[in-house]
Amino acid sequence: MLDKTVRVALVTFAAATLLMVAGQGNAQQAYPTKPVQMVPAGAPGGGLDIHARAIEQALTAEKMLDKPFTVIHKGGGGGNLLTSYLVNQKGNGYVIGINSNRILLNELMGTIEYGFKDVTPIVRLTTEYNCWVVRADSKYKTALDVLADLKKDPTSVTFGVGTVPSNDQFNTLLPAKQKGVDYGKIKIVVFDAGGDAMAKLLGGHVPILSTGLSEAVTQAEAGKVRILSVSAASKLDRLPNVPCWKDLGIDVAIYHWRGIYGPPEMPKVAYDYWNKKFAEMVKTKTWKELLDKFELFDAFMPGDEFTKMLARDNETYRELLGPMGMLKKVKK
Amino acid sequence: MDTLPLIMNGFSQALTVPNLLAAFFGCFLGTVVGVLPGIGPSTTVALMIPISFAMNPATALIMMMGVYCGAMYGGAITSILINVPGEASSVMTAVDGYPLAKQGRGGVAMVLCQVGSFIGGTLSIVGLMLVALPLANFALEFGPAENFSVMFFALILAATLISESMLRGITALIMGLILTSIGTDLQTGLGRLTMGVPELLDGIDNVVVIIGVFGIGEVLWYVVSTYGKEETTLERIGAGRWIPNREEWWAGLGPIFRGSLTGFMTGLLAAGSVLGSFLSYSFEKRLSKHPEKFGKGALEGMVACESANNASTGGALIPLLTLGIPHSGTTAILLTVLTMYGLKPGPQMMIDQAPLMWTVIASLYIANVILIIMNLPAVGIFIKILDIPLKFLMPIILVFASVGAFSINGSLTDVILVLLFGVLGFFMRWSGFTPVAMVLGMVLGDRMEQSLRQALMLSSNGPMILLTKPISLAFLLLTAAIVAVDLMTRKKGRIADDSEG
Amino acid sequence: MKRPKKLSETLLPLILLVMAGLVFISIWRLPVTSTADLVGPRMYPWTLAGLLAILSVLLLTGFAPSHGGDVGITVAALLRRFLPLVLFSTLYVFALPLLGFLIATTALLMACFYLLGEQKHWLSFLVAAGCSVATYLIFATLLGIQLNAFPV
Repeated sequence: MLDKTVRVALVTFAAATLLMVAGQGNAQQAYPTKPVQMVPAGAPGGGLDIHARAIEQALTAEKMLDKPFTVIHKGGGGGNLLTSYLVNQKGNGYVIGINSNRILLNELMGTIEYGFKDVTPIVRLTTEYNCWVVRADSKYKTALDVLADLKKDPTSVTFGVGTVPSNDQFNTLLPAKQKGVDYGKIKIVVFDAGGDAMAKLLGGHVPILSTGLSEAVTQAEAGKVRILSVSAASKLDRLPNVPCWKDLGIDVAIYHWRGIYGPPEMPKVAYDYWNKKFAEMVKTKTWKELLDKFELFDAFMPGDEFTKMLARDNETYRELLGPMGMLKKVKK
Repeated sequence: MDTLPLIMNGFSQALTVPNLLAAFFGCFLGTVVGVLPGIGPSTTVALMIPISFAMNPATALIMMMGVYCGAMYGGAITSILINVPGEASSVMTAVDGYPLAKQGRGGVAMVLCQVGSFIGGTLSIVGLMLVALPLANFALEFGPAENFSVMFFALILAATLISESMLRGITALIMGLILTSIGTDLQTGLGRLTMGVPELLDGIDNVVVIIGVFGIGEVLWYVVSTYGKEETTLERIGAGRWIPNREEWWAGLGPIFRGSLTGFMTGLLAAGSVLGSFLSYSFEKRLSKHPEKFGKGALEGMVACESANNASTGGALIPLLTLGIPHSGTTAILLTVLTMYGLKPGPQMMIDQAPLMWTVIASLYIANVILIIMNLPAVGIFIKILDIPLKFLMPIILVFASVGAFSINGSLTDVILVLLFGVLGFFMRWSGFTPVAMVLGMVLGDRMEQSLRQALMLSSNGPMILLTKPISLAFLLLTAAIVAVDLMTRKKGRIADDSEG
Repeated sequence: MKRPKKLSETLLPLILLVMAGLVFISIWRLPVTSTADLVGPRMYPWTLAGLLAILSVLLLTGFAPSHGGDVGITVAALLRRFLPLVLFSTLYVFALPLLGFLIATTALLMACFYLLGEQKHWLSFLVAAGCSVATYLIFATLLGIQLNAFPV
């Protein structure tokens, strides 16, 4: 009952917004002829919002912005609100969304019936990396020590992470899986995002964290924690002493990427326009400066490659989460 | 490190004309946001991010500190005048403030709250300057086990405070606890009790429940309970006087200082401002010679809780400034802002960025001074709201509450929820349930469950972790002591009641 | 033990009892997850649902009679005041995207004023329209909330 009421209200509202957007111009010779909605799947001030601001800033500063953006936030529902919004905007070339791999995970977990196939992946833009961190006085000196203990007894080391399902979690499970650990048994404790996990590590309540790199770096520079490994494909310039998984003989690289998506059946002209625009943007000086400021890394990937990568990742996640009972039950 | 020159330098930075203007604007906006139900300080600060691109870091941070402090001041006003607390930390203000307004002492209540806010806010910054580092290390001692015990302590303390009917109070508390389990379960990422509504994956915002149960609940209650009694119905509440007399100043004094201390200490913990306001209220009730007046218009609890929620600002900034670790909420957004200016928030921030950090601290003092100067005369204006005839005021509250709910996420689902909770609030009033207990359950419930599960997963010996950690054990013993004392005195009280009746 | 007579004493506990049942079923349908989390996502809501069920049964049996609260609430008051107000508010939510904020809010306020016995329609209109504009200015203009003032 409530369910239906809410949906009716939402659809009405979405329809009203759509009318408003569509009513502003019909001429379609050139693209874009009117402002484009940019919709981060997060609240103002969050990581996805920062991407929206950075894109806007870079394009403005480089004088590459043909029509202004209107930024609308569809935070909430773990990114699901953006996905259903995009699905409702079918065929509209004037909406682009920003989201992470939640678009895959949410469908796998069954919190939404749409996945990456139901929207148009435009480009992959940036990435952050994940890392393993211990307190400076920990007995663990390398990630291999931790993995050796896990191999003996998967419950012997408890990991702290910021959220599940997430790359923090995969950055624990994938290396463990490679080393032949019974990864389904690893204890992973989830703390509130926003620094809670780091506070618990510093307080000595949890022995090791798998977390975002940027949170850990300043703590490491202050000598409070030690970073054991980073999930990048090769060593990072900023952390010459921290090995990546490949350095440790483990074939794992995890990108905590953010990508741009469009509505399903987005007009080709819009799709091509944004692919070209973003490809140019990532080469600019302003964009590179912004990436440094927000401790992000360039991970540009054009639409066709991005779509293939999504399909690949989707299968990896399915394999990982399946044995843990986190997947949606397949309906008979 | 010699701090005195740093402070002086901070003040000289903060006291330039553009920075003062920024502080003033921030304080004004913060007060507005605090007064309005719904949109809170963290959203407002986030919305200011694009504007702040154009400013230098110090000016932008000063403005944001103004918003942060201003929202805490403003929260008291709507709680007292129209029984609509803007956020969870001012719920206890409404509990006694609104009855006071009905008695024609709304202005007095507001003045005392503003003064309490000023003292609480200022003391907490002094505390922040003097003992930030040791306290930051103390805050780190709070792991999952400790957090669980503190939440449990607060919950039991609140349950024993419910005076009307124990059974109904506990039922309301449990309703609140169940409400918080709606949404994504932190440990497994599964959506619980979401009924297929995507918005509910984030859980129900506390503010939605509070606006609904208090604001709309009150409107519905007024509208229904006055039916057929038009001739005896109060036409308007009436402003009354707003300058406290000596007796009232005196009554407020102790609670202000006790509340400030409680607020400052709890500010260190996540969910601090709410915890602080509830705890200081219940401390006051226990200390009071006339606990029966609490909830019916006692100044002490209300003033203590307002001082506490302002004092929590200083406490909440400690982990951010000394360790570079934010609590969720406004401090997390502040961290984003710092990053945006190319600062690397971390343990070194107070040293590497000393001038800027001390400017921020100085701006907190300035914000508090601006706010008290700005808000005391404003009380005289706000109080006029009580002169509006109730038949006009009540529907207006309905609109304000609905738009306030919409403003949280820009979602109509929240407006529907706020109406549903309004209806629930009406039924709760009708059947003699305490909405406050439900709100408390909501605010503490989620963290309590998660902390317990975190503690058990981290423990090597099961539930014993709650007893082997000293801080956790201390809080559990304290809880047991309070329950024991209450059981004995309550029995006596019951007998006394019976002999009277 | 007294039998409860008043509607106010039975209605809410009955609703709560049903809610407890729904919580139980909804949680029961969650998938089983990894064994690492000892307590699991079900224990807590289940415990609470159980407690809620017990408490509502206790309340239903009149174990703890109400201290009042329902003074003077009549069925007529519920029908003539409660229902219309809830109806107006619900309509308002649906009207917001269709009519725009200003019209919908003015209409809601006027309907409520009339319900509460205000006979002077022009006064009603002035107050309602004034409040709508003021609310719009505060929320949409000052705070930048995306509200549509007019129908789109």
